[in-house]
Amino acid sequence: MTSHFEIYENDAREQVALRRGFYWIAALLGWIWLFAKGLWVEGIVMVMLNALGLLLLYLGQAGWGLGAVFQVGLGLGIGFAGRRLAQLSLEHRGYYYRCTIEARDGAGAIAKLAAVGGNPLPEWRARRMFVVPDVVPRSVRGLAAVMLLTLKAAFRFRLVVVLLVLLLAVVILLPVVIKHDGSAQGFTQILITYTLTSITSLLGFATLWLACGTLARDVEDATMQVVCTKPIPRWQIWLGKWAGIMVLNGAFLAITGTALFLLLNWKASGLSPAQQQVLRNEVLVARGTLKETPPDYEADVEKLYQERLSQNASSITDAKDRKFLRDQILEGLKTGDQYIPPGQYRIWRIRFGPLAGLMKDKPLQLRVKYYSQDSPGSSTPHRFEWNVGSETRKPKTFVNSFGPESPTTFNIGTNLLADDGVLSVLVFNLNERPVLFPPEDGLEVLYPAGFFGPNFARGFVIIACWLALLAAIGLFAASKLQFSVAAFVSMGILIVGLSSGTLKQVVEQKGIVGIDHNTGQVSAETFINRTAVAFYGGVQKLLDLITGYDPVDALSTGRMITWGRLVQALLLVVGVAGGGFASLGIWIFTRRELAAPI
Amino acid sequence: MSPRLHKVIGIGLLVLSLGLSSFLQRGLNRDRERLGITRTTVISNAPPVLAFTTVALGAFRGLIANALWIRANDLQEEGKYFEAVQLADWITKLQPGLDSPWIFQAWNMAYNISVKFPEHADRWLWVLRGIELLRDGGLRYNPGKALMYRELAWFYQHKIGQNLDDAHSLYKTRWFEKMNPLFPNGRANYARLLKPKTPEDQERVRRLTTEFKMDPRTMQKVDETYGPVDWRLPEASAIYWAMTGIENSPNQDKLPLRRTIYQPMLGTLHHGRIITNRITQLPDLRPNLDIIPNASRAYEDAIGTESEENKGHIQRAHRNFLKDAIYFLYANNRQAEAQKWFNYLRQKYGIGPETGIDPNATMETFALGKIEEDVNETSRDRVTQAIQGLVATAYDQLAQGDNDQYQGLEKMAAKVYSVYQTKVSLPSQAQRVALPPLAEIKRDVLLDMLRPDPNVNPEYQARLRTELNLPATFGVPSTNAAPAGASAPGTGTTPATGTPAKP
Repeated sequence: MTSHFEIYENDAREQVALRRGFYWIAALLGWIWLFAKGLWVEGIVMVMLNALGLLLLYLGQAGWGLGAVFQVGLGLGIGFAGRRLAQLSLEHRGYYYRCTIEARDGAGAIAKLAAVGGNPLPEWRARRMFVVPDVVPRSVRGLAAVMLLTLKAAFRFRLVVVLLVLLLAVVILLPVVIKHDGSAQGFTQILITYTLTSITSLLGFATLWLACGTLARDVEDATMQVVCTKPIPRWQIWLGKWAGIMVLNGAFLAITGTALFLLLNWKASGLSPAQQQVLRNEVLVARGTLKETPPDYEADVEKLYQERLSQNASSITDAKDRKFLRDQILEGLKTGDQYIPPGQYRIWRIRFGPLAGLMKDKPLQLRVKYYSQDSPGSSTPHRFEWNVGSETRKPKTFVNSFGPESPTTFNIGTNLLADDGVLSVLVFNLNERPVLFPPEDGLEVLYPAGFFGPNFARGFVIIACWLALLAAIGLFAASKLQFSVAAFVSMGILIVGLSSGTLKQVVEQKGIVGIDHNTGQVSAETFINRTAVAFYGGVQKLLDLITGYDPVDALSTGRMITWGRLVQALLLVVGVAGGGFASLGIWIFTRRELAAPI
Repeated sequence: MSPRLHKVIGIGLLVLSLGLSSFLQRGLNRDRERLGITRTTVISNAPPVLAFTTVALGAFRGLIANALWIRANDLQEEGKYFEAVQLADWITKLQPGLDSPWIFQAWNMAYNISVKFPEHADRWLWVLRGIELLRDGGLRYNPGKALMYRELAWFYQHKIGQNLDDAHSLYKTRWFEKMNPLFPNGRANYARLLKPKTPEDQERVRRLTTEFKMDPRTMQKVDETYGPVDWRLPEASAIYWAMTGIENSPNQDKLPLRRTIYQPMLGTLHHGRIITNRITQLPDLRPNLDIIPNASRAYEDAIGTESEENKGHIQRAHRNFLKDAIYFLYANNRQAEAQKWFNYLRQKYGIGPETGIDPNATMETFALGKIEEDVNETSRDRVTQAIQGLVATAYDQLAQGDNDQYQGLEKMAAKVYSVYQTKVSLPSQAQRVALPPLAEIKRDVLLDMLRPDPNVNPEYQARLRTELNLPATFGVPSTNAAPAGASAPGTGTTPATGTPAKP
């Protein structure tokens, strides 16, 4: 089996052959190998990096497993960079590059050069800095090569260093400057929110910029014309660039995600045990939610409907009247379940099913929202007595008070489920006014469904999905347009995507012209309004498919990001939306006449 | 027309327009100052980053501020409050010269967000954040805005000082814990505060000025004018900030601030003295009757400086204050002073429905009538004072040897207690305004009366112990343990109000 060897020579005509590929010795010995090669600066940097990484892991109380992963990762990095580092070492000692020869071993490569009188053949002279490893299948070597070239370009633009510094600065400096409510939970929640939002924003804009730049600029400075003469299909070029950007994003997310995770654990470890417990129950956790199964009102509706029909047969003859009657009865039954008069109570029964067996000693919380008769926006707290547990045993009882119209979460304790896996929650209205618990989010039970670490990782994968979509958008725009125009178009698409609130508002108010501010609806149905509603509604539906995956909100409130949701995000955000932009982009790029003036 | 002529005409129009706009500009600048809408002046005391930001962002400040307002509102509706403090900080820093964002955000945190939390400790954090936003930020950039001082004083007086919030006891306790290290007995030693010599005093002054943003000289003025106040109480801070506002605000804005002083003074009268309950070691609030002369004089001074159309408000407040003062003095067995102020009220404001004095009323009938009125109004403070006063008077009569009076007053105290508790039996009121058990109230009064005091005759105390069959050491604080037989004799506990019966 042959490999490629780079031949270096010094003024004394001494030749050394460097093999291309992975350097196992360098990977195993790390900074010792660097010192042995005379690379003092690089060795010191590697020692410091190693120490810093281990320190962060120690402060974050990461286990030995994570430490081993870190060491292996570092070793792999040095191993892959081994040839470049060995080259540097030779260049420091006065060697210079002659040629690259394919041979069985280094001696064989030197012998081949000697066989031709020491003058390299033309095909030996080219120096390919980034060579695709031989393990990559031949059919996609072009894609891999473009991916590596994209990475190289990112390093050349200093983007990697700048972005890494910015991202780590965000992670390290934000805890120092942000203000919070003074509680450990509040601090952790705001830290997670702002850090993840900053990381997503920075990487998002960088991705868009890089995606537009890497393709559009290659076309503008005629590099792409040269690349396209090679036997690489254009779709591989397009996808190679996308893959290169995503590898970069993946590395950034891994580094910043690890740093943030360790920082959170470090901060948490400095709190008192009681505060740590609260944090791990409410924020650094992955909680699932359960609600009461909505009752089936059909039978009751039908019964009441028939009764009313028989009592008023002569007056209810029209089909519309009969439908109205059914709707009214249904609404009445629903309201009866939501409404609690003063001094009365209501019972919620939440079934845990197969999860019941996993709830031993696990803390549960209730998330409650109610409305009162007070004017909208009123914050007067109302008092409730809670009887939580099982209807066959003495329940846990407590009284609290809190304001209406927005959700409130509080602990209810552990080991409260009945033997049949049902949690009963009885709520007494201790006020002089009735209250109403909406069916969709009036009362939910939060339970620990998983650990924070895997949930955190799933959140980052969803962020990576968003970045994949942004990369596809940027490359789509750059497939046809100049860099500046492509960047502008990409930003425009992003802004439309972020304007779902505006789109929703247009659909709700049924138009964009002639809004009556008293009713919030248009005063007349015009052609413009109908067209706007149809267009905005269509865009809204499309956006709804892909915007419903906000990991930042879930992570900051300790909610579970399920595997199903992750797969959905992958399929819809990357597969459907990203795939759509990718298909269009590849199609446009394939048909583009690159040599035509821009 | 030739291009050259076009250019000449264009330049001429340009010069003419610039010239005309310079006249308009002067008028615009004058209006901006007059209406207080100019934002281009550098804010004094601003840190460099803020000063730079307010200039550099230019017109985008408004857009960014709007976006932050919308975000804050949306998050609040979703029940996500963890960003509220940070968003409030940014919103106010983007518009530091406007008082309404500061006031709104502070109010929102202290009143709206705090009550969303069932845990009282969490509520306190938000009340404190609201106070800090206004005190440490708003007043720093708007030192002359009367409304800010007024709102800050209101937070202390209303949110912490009154009992409308379920968690008001915790608020008072937390505030006490904050201020007690600076004022261990509630009073300020101005000789040490104004000229601190020891490291301890210097640290005290440092904390007072940097943490609480309070000036000892202004505090001294408060004590001289309206005191003596217990600085561990929120009412004292309310009066302080109102007074600071009066000193720093323009004349036309001072009236709301003057009014803000009277309400906390009324609160100080009702519960402006802290004593440590020797059984629970927790602070207990009692009326501060020593401020009555200063407070009344302050009302009169204010009436004297007020315009004719506004005098009526303050006179009304003064009347109500005097009525309460008479009642509390009577209830606390200070008959002579009660009589003096009754005479004063009658002489100053006459008889009739406004004063509540009938032509044939005496001080005693007046005070007893107030008890009935307060029970009907379910005022916790007043009823507590009334019961405490009746119990104290009862024990006093017992010590004097008048057993009949003792029995009568005890029965009156029990009657007032039971009538009040019946009126606040609803669960929504019970936790907030229900009274502690009567035995506990009587025990506290007794312990107060039997505490060693150089101004009290020990034989009087010994006689009281004898009449009540108490040991000689009862009420003498030799250890922290509750004395034997600590419960007040002759009473039982009152059942707590319960929840509605379950089906």
